[in-house]
Amino acid sequence: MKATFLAIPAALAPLSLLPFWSAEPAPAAATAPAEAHTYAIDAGHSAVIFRVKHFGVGYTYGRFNELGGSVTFDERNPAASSVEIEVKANSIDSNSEGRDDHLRGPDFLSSKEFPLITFKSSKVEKKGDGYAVTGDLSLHGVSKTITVDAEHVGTGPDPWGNERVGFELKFDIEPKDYEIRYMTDKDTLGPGIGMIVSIEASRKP
Amino acid sequence: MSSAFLKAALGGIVPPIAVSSLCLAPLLRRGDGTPRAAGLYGALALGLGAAAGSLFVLGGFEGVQRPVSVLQRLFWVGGIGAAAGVVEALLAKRTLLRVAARLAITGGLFYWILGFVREHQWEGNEAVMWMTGLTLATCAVWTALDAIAKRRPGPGLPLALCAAVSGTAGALAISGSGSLGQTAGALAAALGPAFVLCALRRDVTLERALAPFALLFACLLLGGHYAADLPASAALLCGASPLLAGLVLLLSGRLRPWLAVVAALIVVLAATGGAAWLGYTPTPDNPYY
Repeated sequence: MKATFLAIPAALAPLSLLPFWSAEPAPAAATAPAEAHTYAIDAGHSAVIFRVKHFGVGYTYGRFNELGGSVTFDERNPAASSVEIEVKANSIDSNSEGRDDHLRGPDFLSSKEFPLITFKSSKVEKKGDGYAVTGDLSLHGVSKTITVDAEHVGTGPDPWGNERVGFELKFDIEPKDYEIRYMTDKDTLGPGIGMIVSIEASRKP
Repeated sequence: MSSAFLKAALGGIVPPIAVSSLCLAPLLRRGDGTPRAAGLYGALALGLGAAAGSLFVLGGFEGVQRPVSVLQRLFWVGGIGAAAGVVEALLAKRTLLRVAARLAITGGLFYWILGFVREHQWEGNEAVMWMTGLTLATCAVWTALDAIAKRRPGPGLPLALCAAVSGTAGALAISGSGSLGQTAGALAAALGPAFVLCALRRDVTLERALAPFALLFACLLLGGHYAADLPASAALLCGASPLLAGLVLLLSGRLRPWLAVVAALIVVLAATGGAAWLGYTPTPDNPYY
């Protein structure tokens, strides 16, 4: 079932070569919202990816599969923009069932105690070509204010007439700051965890 | 074995043994083995010893200053258990007050430890029913173990309790939490010097010293079940193992003492082994460590 589902976009890929399908959305600047609009995060086209150094020799990657939230975006007035993201801790997926069970347990995320990981922005500023987003990251029962770099990937219409906007946030977190201390010394896991949060959100115009 | 794994394995064992030995040292002197003194020093040894191990598991004081998780709260349960032992010693001759204190401390502790279950899982009166039931059951086991300790002095009971917690540590580690297993290991390690003391001083018993054991053991099982993946049946088997071992010691009056201890250990092994088997979930993929 999953394979069939994944095969559909692949099967449709050749259609993008046809003129009607390859019509590019208008450039972001041309369709930039003149005022703040709120978009709902499209979980199917969004991802929360992490990587952690393992025994100091390589990176292990994983992701969270269930997320939601909203983005309010005003390109001309970034201060009016905001983002709220909610990730289900037990949706962690590191391509190893046994490891995922362990990561969900009290040694790491303790997802039964703390089912949600949330980020709620409090300030958005223009920074170079992108934005600096400051907000509270709540993880493992601890809330910390962090500032992350956000890239505005694009804004434009989709084939169904909705307006879409995309961002990518990159930042590092230190598990000890969130009271996760199991095997998190630099010799085993870490130091730190690299995070990429890629968001695509849509709204009815 | 790498230094990290060695540190993790020994760190939860050496500090509890050291702290527990220090607390029990005064009882080695003749004349200091009154039930009240034994209860006081014994409770301090078990509670502070286990807390020392927990501290190591959590990476030092930094890890316990803001106890947000069950794992971090277990450090404080060790301390509260030691304090409960002091209360028990102070109320030694006031049975009703002592029982009331036991119920209040146990109930309050469970309310704190199981906050996340009250928030996310139990609905309506479920929380009241479960909290009441768990509190009564824990106090009943605690009281029964006290009575067994009084009637069967000697190293048998501390050894059986040590075996029960060690087996539980294995079951917890197998069912998804190395840290909970390590904390249980710390409690088992803290029982080691108590075993040695009871072997050397046959007149010393663990009666009234079991507050930290009863509280921490119960909280470990609750944490294992509600925060990790220890099945309820496995938690019940682990929880029953000290009582079963105690009953074997109590009812085997005709057996030689060492044979009674062996029988108690077999019962503990069967119960905790069964719990580990129930808690083990085979995964199809390769080891991920």
